[in-house]
Amino acid sequence: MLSWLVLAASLLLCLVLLYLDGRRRERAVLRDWELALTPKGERALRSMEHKTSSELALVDLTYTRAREAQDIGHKAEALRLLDVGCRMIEEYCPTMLRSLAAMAVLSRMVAAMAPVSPMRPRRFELRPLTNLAYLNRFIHHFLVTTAERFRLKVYILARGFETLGHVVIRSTARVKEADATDKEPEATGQEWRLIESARHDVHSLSQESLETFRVLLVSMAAERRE
Amino acid sequence: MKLLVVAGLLLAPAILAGLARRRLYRLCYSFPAYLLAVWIGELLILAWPERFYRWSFWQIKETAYAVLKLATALELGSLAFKAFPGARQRAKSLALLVLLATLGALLLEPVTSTDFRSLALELQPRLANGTALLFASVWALVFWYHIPLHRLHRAILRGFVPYLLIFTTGMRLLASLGRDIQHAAAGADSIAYVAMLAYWAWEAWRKEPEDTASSPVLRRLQPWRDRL
Repeated sequence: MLSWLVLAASLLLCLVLLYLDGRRRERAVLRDWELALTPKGERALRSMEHKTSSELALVDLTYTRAREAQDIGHKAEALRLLDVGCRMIEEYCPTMLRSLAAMAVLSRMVAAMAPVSPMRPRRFELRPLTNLAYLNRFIHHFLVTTAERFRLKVYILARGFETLGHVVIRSTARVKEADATDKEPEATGQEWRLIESARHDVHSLSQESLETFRVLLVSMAAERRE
Repeated sequence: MKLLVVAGLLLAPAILAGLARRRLYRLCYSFPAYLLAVWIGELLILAWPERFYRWSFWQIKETAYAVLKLATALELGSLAFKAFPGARQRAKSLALLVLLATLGALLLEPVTSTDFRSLALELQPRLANGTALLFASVWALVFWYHIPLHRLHRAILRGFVPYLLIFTTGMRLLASLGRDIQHAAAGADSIAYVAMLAYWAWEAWRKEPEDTASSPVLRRLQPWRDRL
């Protein structure tokens, strides 16, 4: 019976490996290694840093204008800008998720990873993100290698961006819904506060991601010197 | 069935010639050794069946093939992870674990057979399954650590893992269900085996793209490319 189970598991593993092999492109693997082992990678990550800060500045500007429009009673303009800001974050989060996924792959290619610090809960205003940061701090101490700690942080950051995207979409929808049904301003106040917190936290998450990038850069630079 | 045997006999030297032509035999010495052993073994049976078509020879040749397959898996692992110290350490641990588990399956798992022939039928699939898992562990680590593979190494993994599992399944069915499915199991095994050889022959003869072969990064990651 045991040998049949082992055989079944082996067949399943074989199918998974064949599937992964079908998806794998050797050229893409080599390109990733070129990123890790040549200054090309450093340049790519630096440009990502610039892109991140400019996108966040745009998100900030849009939400500030939306808040101003809301405060002076231009509801239609406030909603339009809120919608634009929401779409910006909606697009920004998957970009960051892709970058984090690439970082996780690169981290496996680096022989020795520089130490990474866990996320700081005080940096966040949204409750789910604070909890994620506490979770990161907690599990961080149970992991032995710096590579494992790095990948944990990358995983938590990715979950953070996903959560943030959901919060922004939900709160924007509620603000629009409240406006359509002519609810009291207090009803939307809570959602506006959540959006403000999300705006704050997108900065914190990006900051944490950039710090993680830097750790990867240091590790990759050490790899190149070897 | 005879046609498949002849096809196997023609394909094995074709692969060896391809490996020699492209000097690919230098990238995994156990692999051509395995192909040569298989070719000689099958040729002897076809040429002198009255002398070599017997259980004692079958046992000797299958043991030799199994040892060479294990050697191929270990050599492949050591080459693929040569430039990656972290991955190499993990690969060593995993290989040791698989080898110990295979040894445990061979020695500790109870055998029901009493005669030599049934015992061989019972033990061969355990060894083949262990070898397949050894190849699979190398393959899985290659994916996990994002390690670039030479096309020949990839072809060996792509060929051996499914074929060994088909072989194992056939042998297990044969051991459990008896002679009723002997022809079906042997047919499936032969088809899978010839398909694997045909794929290897194609890989051995096709030309390598120039741009990837000359990349300095690739030369650093695959130091054994200098052998070519």
